[in-house]
Amino acid sequence: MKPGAPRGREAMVWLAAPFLVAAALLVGLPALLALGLAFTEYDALSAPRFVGVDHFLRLWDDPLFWTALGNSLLFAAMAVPLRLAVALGLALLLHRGGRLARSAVFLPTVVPDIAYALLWLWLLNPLYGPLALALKAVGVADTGWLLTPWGARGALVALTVFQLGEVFVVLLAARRELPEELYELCELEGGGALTVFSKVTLPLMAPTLALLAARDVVVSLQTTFVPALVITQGGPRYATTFLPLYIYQNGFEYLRLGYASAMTWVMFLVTAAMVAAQLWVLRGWRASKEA
Amino acid sequence: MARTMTKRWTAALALAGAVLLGGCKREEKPPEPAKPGTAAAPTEVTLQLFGDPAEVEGYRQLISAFEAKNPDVKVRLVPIGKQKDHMAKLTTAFSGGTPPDLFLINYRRFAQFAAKDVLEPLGPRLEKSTVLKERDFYPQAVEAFRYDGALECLPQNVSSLVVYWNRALFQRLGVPPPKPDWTWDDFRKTAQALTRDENGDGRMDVHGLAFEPTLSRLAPFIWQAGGDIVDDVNDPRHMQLLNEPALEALRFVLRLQRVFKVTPSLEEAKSENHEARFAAGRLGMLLNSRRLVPTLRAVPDLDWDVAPLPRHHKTATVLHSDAYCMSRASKAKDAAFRFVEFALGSTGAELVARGGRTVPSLKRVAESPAFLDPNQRPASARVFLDSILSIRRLPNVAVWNEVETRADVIVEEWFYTVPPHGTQLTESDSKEVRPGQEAGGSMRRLLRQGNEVNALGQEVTEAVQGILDSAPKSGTP
Amino acid sequence: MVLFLAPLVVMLTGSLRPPGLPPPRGVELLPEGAGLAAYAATFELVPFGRALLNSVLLAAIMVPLSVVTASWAGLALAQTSGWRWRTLAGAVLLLVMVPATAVWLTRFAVFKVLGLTGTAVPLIAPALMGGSPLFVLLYAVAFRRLPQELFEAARLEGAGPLRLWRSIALPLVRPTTAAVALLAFGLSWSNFIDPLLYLSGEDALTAPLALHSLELLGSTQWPVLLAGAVVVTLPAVLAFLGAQRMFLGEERGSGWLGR
Repeated sequence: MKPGAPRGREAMVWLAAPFLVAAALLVGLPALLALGLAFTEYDALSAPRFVGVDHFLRLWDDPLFWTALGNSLLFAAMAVPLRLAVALGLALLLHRGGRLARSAVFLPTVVPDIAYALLWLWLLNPLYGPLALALKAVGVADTGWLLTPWGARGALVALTVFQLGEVFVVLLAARRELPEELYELCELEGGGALTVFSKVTLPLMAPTLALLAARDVVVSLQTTFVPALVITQGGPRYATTFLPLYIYQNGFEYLRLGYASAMTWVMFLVTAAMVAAQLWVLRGWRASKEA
Repeated sequence: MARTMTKRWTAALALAGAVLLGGCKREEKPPEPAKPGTAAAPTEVTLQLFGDPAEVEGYRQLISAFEAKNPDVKVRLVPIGKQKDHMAKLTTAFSGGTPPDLFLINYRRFAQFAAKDVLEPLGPRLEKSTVLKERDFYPQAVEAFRYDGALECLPQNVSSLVVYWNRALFQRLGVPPPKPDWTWDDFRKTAQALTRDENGDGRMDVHGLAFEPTLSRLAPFIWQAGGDIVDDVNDPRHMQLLNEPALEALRFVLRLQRVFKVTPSLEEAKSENHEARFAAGRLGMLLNSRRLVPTLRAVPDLDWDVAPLPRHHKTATVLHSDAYCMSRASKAKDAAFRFVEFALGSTGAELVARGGRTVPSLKRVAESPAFLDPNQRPASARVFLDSILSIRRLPNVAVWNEVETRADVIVEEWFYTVPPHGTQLTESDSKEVRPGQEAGGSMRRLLRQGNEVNALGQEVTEAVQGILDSAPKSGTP
Repeated sequence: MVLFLAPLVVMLTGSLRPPGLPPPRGVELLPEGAGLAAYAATFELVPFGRALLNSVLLAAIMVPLSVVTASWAGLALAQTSGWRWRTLAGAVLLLVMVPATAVWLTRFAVFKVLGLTGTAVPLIAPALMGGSPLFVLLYAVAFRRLPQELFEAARLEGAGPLRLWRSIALPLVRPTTAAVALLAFGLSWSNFIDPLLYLSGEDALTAPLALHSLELLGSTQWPVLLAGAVVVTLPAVLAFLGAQRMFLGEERGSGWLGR
């Protein structure tokens, strides 16, 4: 840690030491352990027993695993675009003025997961919940759809759309970064609002959007856990059993840590593939723009 | 300036950390050597159980009574709100190496721990006990906690499924109370007479009957019809839900739901739980075990009683029994067993019995006024004791918890999903409903084929066969 | 905007209903006989006071710790170049891409081996890696925008990395610190799964866990549950309102990226 003009900057890397050590211990080591455990039978009570690729073969035949994987992908496919679209719309709408409105948009995001889940459990109560009562007041008598698989999935998507504060703030900042001159120019040339959006706003914000989408895919694997545990308990009929919930059940309820580790790795690989695909699309899109 | 700030900050952090760790850490204090002239620090025993606030209050009283007599032991209660969390917490605690010294658990769920050999078998300690003898307990309960022949845990109660009924509601609607030896027909007619749409809005305001659609609630009906849940209760290898007696019971239950419409719909059941509906006087009969008693006693002005389950070809009910289990890793086994002795012995059992939570596993307390107190609801508490004669139990093998968890999802869907072209069931029972030819296929496909009754057995069998197969072969020494 | 506030308003009004009444039959803006009875019941049924205290203490440790480690790592990321930068940036990006749910099981196993399950250490430990890789990135972006000359000048005077961090970098990115502190507070305050896995016993409850144990009460007791939800939510909302000026500001140039 000797200070010195040219090498001084590089010495700053030492500041990252606690972060790197903690990350290695809390994420790196567990991830590697999971890879190892995936090939063993392990119940945390007795020593792990090597079983080769048995768990992966079993995953192949486990209908609930495929259901959970499908549910997770479906959720990401529904929630991520919707969240981004709503957040983008709000950011464009509120990028000048209206701090009160911005606070209102951000507020649901600060509600702790468990309180938020309970709140929605109440909102969605099929007979006495405020939503059902409001629908009844405007003449919609049948609120039983909330108990159908698609109703439950839709409800979970809806409740994550309300918690888009982080995405919203990043998009807000990104929009502020855009040079106002471009907009003025576009207006002078007589471009309508739609043209401005498609010719100026969208292309310039696309990289941010793509990065947020990649991040949101990862986040969607976490945000589903508490609502699925508290609101739907994975039902009706496994319609909201997402991968994290199924991993939790296998690992912590039935102590099949090896099997759950195998699932964890499949989940990680699927996430990585989805993120990579998105970044690849972004790169292709950029290249085509530059060409 | 900045430096002093940092310093102060660090100090505050360290302080906060110390306080927090002290608060969250369990049993971190090293055993202090007895100071001269003062008693040694009390041994701490942790007890984990699940229950609603009224039940937990009863255990708190039990613990204070024990601590008053045993000042050298401190019992730390870890109450958990939900059965599912209780199980998850136990498995994580065992795998994390910090299990509670004692926990209360149902016989259908203890075996997964016994199988992993993390329980301290209490049988040998019972033999040496001067307070308790095995013959003082109801054998039906004791037998449920044997695993591989060894008595692992000591039963605290010997409850069974009974009918809770709202006496005031029965009187208001002019429905005669349940007779002691009533049949399925009487039961169904009573439920029908209680089901009313009082304000004519097309929605029932009072329902005759409610129960959770789960395997354990269906079991007594299947037994009453002469059927079985599994091939061998001690070593279950196959489900038996597709045999004719079982199908007769399933038809009966399903007709209650969709022909006679005496039970709340899915929508209604999900909006308000059965207990709340019963407490609010909008439900005539509710099937549950003894554990509902403290909750119902706490509801002011609710006039209710219990009745036995109806009979069909046979009389039968299902055992609900919880036991105290001890962790092998416990560092305070003797103190913990003293608590078990107290809790199950006359004083403790009477205390808990008065609280209403249990049908005591100790015969002399169950027959005593502590349990049969005529001044306390339910007036017909003896129903619980009479039921013991016809009590049967579900398997207690290690995989059974998972079998039930899987099956219950299917039971619920089966119970509430009407086939797309309406039910084929009619007011009179008929075996015309085609038995299923093939296994496999989704519930919806089965329903389309008109197999609304068989769908349950087929789906459950398919879902749990793999789990049953994964159980180790028994009979090997 | 009304849409976004509606759930919270419903939560508040719902919590004011007297507990024990039959469920409502129509839309009610303010329930009849509104009062705080449900709140009293909440505190009676579950040791909420203790739980809140525990959560506050956790946050008091985690927020400063997150800010310190995240800003350190952020500064390193902003100042280094070459392989050091690539390693660091790679590590951060990798962390962004690992779902927290993917390391639950084995992180639990690691803490078990260390003998730390049942203590608060597993809950606090993530703060050592800045709470979330996102915070590191936020700081890195903010530090990148500071003029290099400031750092170079200080270095010529012989200032080491810690000094640069404390007297130059950190004071110039206050809005970022506010944002990170707020987000870190949210992270520690709403953490539900870690306490569920690692802690047990009534005196080790955290606020979200206390709310979870209220849940068994069932649907007639909705006011009590909602009151609990309000109690757990309120500190987070207050913290947000305190910090929102810093990162939802009006003018260009303010904002949580520290411009």
